[in-house]
Amino acid sequence: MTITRKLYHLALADFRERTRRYSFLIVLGLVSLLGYAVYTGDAGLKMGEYRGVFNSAWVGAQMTMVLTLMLSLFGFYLVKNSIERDTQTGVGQIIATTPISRQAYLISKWLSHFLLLGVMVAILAAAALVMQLLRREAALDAGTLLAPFLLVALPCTGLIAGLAVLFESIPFLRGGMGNVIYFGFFLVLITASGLSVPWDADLASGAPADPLGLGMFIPSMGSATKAQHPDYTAGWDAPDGDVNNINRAFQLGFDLQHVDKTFQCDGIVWTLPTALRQWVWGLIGLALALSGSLFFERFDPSRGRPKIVKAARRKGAQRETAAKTAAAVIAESEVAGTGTTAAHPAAAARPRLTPLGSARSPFSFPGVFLAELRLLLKGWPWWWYIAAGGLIVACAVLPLDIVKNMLLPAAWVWPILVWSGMGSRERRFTTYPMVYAAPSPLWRQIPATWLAGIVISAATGSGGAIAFLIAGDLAALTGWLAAVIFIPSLALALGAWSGSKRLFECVYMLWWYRGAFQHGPALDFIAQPSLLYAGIGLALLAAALVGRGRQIQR
Amino acid sequence: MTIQSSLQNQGKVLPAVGKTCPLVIQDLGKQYRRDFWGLRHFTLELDSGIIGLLGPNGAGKSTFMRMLATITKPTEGKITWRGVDIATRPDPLRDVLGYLPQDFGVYPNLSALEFLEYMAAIKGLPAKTARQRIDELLQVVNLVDAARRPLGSYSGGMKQRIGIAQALLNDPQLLIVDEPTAGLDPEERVRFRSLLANLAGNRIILLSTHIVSDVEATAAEIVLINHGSLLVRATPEALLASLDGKVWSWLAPSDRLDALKQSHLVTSTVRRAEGMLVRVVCEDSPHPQAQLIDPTLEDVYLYQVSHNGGRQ
Repeated sequence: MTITRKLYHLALADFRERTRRYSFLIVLGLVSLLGYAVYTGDAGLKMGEYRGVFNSAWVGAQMTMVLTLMLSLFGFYLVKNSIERDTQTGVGQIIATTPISRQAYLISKWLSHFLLLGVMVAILAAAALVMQLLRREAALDAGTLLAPFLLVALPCTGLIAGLAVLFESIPFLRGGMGNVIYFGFFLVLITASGLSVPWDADLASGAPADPLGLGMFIPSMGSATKAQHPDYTAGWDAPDGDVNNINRAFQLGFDLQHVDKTFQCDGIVWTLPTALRQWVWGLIGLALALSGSLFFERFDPSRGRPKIVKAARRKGAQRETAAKTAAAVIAESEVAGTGTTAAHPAAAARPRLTPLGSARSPFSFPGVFLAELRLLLKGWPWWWYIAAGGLIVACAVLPLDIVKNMLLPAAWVWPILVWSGMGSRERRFTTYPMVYAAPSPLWRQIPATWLAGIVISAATGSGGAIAFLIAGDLAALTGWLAAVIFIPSLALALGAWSGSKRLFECVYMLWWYRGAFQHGPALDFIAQPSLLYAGIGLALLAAALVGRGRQIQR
Repeated sequence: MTIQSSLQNQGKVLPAVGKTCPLVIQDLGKQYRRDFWGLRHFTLELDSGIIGLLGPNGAGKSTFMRMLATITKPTEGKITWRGVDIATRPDPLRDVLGYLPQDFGVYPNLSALEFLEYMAAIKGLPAKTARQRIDELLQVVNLVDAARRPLGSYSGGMKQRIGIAQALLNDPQLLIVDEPTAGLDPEERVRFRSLLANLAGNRIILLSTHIVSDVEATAAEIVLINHGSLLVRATPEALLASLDGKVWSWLAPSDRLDALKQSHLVTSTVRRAEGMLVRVVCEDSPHPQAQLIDPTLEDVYLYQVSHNGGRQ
């Protein structure tokens, strides 16, 4: 079998497995919603106070930029679970025994990611087509409309696919820690992309400045806007690196204020150099995927969980031998032919259990709560606890404005991987058949899990509460209390409904960044002087109960 | 005459008629797709003792067990535990249920002790009772020395033993074990069978497997299932008696084996220097040299499956 054929089949099988999941339908629905948001103007691009006339150049470029922005964040989280799934399903162990090389396996994963993200590019390209036809502001030019998708969006997906493969190849970055680190990387990426727009560069000769493709479109749009509307403040008028002035020049994303003033966007004249320019990023993505082979352990479990393996080595081998010896005392032998067992004279070795009678605890909540709390707190490295403790102390002793702006937000992003286990743990570790078959699985477990999450948020944020109490800032204390309830409730609800920790990690990181860190007015769940977010938290708890209730008996 | 009618004529089929059984399954069905039922028209009444559930892969055993374990809701029919429909009120059964699923996981960062404490709390056991019970169970499943190691470092067989321990935590009245000996070494398998035999008193133990020797060693009754339907329910003795005079063995040339498999139900073959020692189930002597031998449950199982639609 040729290597091409191997890659084709590996990638295709992976692609099929993902696209036949119910969750993929949800993703398609969300992508369609994104297209609709661009159509209505809730998401998209504006140049200062202006937007482009809905011609093919503007619609294609705008949709492509929104798409690359979204895919570079959500696309990464969407595809970054393929190697993990092969590990969990056991398929990886089978693949590991085949002659396929690590490089070929990782390229097949890159291809599969690329195909999956490509489906989304195709959907939004179709949405762009429909959008222009519905808007009827200019005649349709299919080539101009679709070129940005092929020449900017697809290369970007190649890069995202490569990053996802690389993160999955490195054991340290495979889990939630990798998700958090990627979010930081994403923030750097979008900021750098915005700041590096080459306003006065010659597009054809310039090097590809950013994978999102802003530099491909924004300068010509800025020139056109300035030419048609002299009051427009373009990027070249802004001092280098001044984010506020850049924001006045263009804004890309969600929740934009609607603008009616328009300019005519003529788009890009695609020459061969400009057409190939962004594809460099696609190739970089492929190279990143290949570089993953330096770290990828090829499903060798002995290299996957160092801590557990170490513990096993420390306590294991000789005790295992002792256990075997004890087992050997059970000297029962099968009687050939009849299939019955005959007891050895050493009958005392027969396993026996004392009957329990009707010993049931009428109120088992404290036990379940403590067990849930232990589950949340087990398995973290020592430095995690040290850092959490350090943040608590720092919050308690440093000035209030530093606490509000930096330390408390930091203290409440630190346990993100602890909270993200809530609600989905039973699915992820396949303990649900046992847990759901226990009495009152809904009311006995979910409230206990929720309270355990609240204890974590209260404990990690306790330094903030002390600071607010000392300062007599009751409004801040109210917001603190609401956040304590809100964060674990969000984790529990999203975990229970998605069966995965990634949804919470992704949503919370965004929410935390826009709200707690950047203090977005409505999104700042820490600084609200009311119990609004506590109310939302209780609603989320109700949602978690409904979600788990649905899973318990299907 | 089929085996089923033979069993009925001997009066050895055991629908527990006229007695109030704690677990009653009536016309149970589970539909997965429009054109596929995992289980259908399944009726059974179960009293205390070990009941072996035998069937090939895909027969519907796990579907049946998941419905009994209140994990899956039936599409039709109902299951009642002491008169209570478990679909509408599952908790009376869950209070006394022990369930070892075929596929299950554990929390890799917890030790065996911590995991069992967690499951005991989830099952509502008081802390003191739970501690005593866990100590006993760790001895029973032979994991005392490994009790404080993280479960992530356990072998497959050790995890299976933890599964067995958690199923027994609440001293269940209904114990459902799905392929319990999968992954266990022979020593542990014998130990587990012995444990089941000891536990079978006033409780119902439903043991699902396709390892006939497990059922042979422990079960007081056997339920055979295929294609989502109940084939037969009988004691092992009745099942064995139903094949009396129908199991033959002789030494056949190796090159005749394929042809023999086409014409007869061959239940086992053993290579010998002179050829193949074959074991065949059929009404009349299949070969002049064939000799009647005692049937085994494996013969019964293979006969029933092959005469009722074969494997999935």
